[in-house]
Amino acid sequence: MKSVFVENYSVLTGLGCNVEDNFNSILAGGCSINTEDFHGGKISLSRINNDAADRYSFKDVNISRLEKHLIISIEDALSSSSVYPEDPSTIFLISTTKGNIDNLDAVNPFKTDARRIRLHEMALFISSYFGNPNRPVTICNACISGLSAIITAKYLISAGKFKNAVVCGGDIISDFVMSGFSSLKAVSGEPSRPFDETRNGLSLGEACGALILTNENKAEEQILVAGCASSNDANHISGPSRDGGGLLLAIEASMREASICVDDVTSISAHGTGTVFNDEMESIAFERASLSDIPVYSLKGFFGHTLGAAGIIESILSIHAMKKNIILPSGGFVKPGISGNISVSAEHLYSQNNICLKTGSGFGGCNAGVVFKKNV
Amino acid sequence: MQGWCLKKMSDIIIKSHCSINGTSAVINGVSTLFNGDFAEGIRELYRSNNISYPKFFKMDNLSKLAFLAAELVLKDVELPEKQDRLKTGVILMTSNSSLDTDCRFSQSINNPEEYYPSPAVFVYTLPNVMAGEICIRNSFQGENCVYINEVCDWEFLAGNVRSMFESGKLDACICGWCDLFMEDFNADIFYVERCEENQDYIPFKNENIEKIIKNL
Repeated sequence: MKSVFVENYSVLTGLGCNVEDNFNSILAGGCSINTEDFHGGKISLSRINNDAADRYSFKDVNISRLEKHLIISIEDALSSSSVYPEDPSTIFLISTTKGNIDNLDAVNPFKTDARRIRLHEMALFISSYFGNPNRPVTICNACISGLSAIITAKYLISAGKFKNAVVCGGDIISDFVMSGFSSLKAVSGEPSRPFDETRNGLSLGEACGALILTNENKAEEQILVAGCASSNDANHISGPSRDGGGLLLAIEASMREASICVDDVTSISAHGTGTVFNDEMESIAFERASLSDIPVYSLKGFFGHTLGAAGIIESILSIHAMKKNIILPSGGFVKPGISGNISVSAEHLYSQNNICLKTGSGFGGCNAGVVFKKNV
Repeated sequence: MQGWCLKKMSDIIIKSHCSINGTSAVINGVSTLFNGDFAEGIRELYRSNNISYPKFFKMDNLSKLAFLAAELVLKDVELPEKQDRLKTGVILMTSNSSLDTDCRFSQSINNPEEYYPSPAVFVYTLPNVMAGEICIRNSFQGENCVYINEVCDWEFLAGNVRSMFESGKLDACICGWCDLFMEDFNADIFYVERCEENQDYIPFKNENIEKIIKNL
């Protein structure tokens, strides 16, 4: 089995258009969630500086907003990477929950080719844009899609099927998604406050991220995708389990694959949507996994729940924090309001951060855990 | 589904197969007719197989198809005790994702005068909910994923599932293809498991998968 290393990455959110901007904004307590005219954190491409705007001259006038975001983030990740998208040993994986769903919205100035409402057609459009000769892998696994894409990329590389993977995740805020979450009464009137006692729902956000994985160890200090697993609650299609049992299975299996024990974990990047039941479930699962003393945070209070991008961008920012030996703060958190005993902090910490456990949970009862480990 | 060759304990075997399309439902080579449109045909399959699960009638069509294919593929399978299904996974591939229900939900929000987004419809606008329904019904708690592709990529799907057995994450798995858009639908589902001693079953290999789905 070949090891899988993180080679490069990029992030595009309402907070900023590259990793450093996002990272610094998080450390400064920034928040891109707008609750005045609508409840979510949107990407504003006008925030990309003029140089960048010139670079992205799209020939296809029918390109959708999501496709634009995907291309920009992949281009950014590839620009300082030694992985070539045209290389037949490079595979593209695209994670999204709803793809170009805004094509179904009544009013939308960015309608794309109708065929590309089909997710695999959109993925093929993206991989072809970069000249990749392989059929891309498209993952649509609710809110764990991004983690499922990383899990699948790890399989494809460690099994020797491909040398490199461009793992990209994205979703946009559309009338479709906004009205759906509103109908579930899951949307908070204020920016979401994961794990906080006053939390009362999630905030939607839109984002894109690209993570380049490879089997080559190219630097002295590298981050490995050391272990991963998914599971199902087998309980309810839209409500989290009460006992966190499903998430616990994914956490334990991912740590087993990484050959680590709970004392090795230095940080936990949780799903933390900000809904009452999700955060409660997670806190119970972490306590049951004996992870009560490990610092845990959710990034969704900074840029919202970014659906198919969440697993990718939250992993990337957590990896970036590992490299800097920083443990990220939990956005919107003030006072704990969960029954599981866990260590959430509103402030970032400077501390050795060698092993990060990233988790996710989603509709359909699915859960995932991925262990990132510093190769020291 | 027996008699292809004698296997070792380390092997992964195909225990059962089911396919459903607009003309027939086939369980381990035995075919019955699929009569009428999707709604009629799927209801008839549900009744003729004596399934009793009221939640079925609340599902969207994609989940109904996946659920029923899983019911039929497990019809003659003796599942382990519930506590031993922690490593039974559901790994599926589809082409149209949840587009059938997406269109339905979209219609409910596009006319401002008839704006009524239904939460019961919205929860089905994700294709992996079909995997969730199968898990809930059978207490399966193992690996879960839904992939989107134009056609079923068995080489990818089976390779992925095999690697999960090899790494010890799975002991059994529902895997295969399940796709639906309006009246265009088909499912091809396998139940595979780790071989127990000297069982006489079909190895989970690409050539055997191909033979079975082509009904050779």
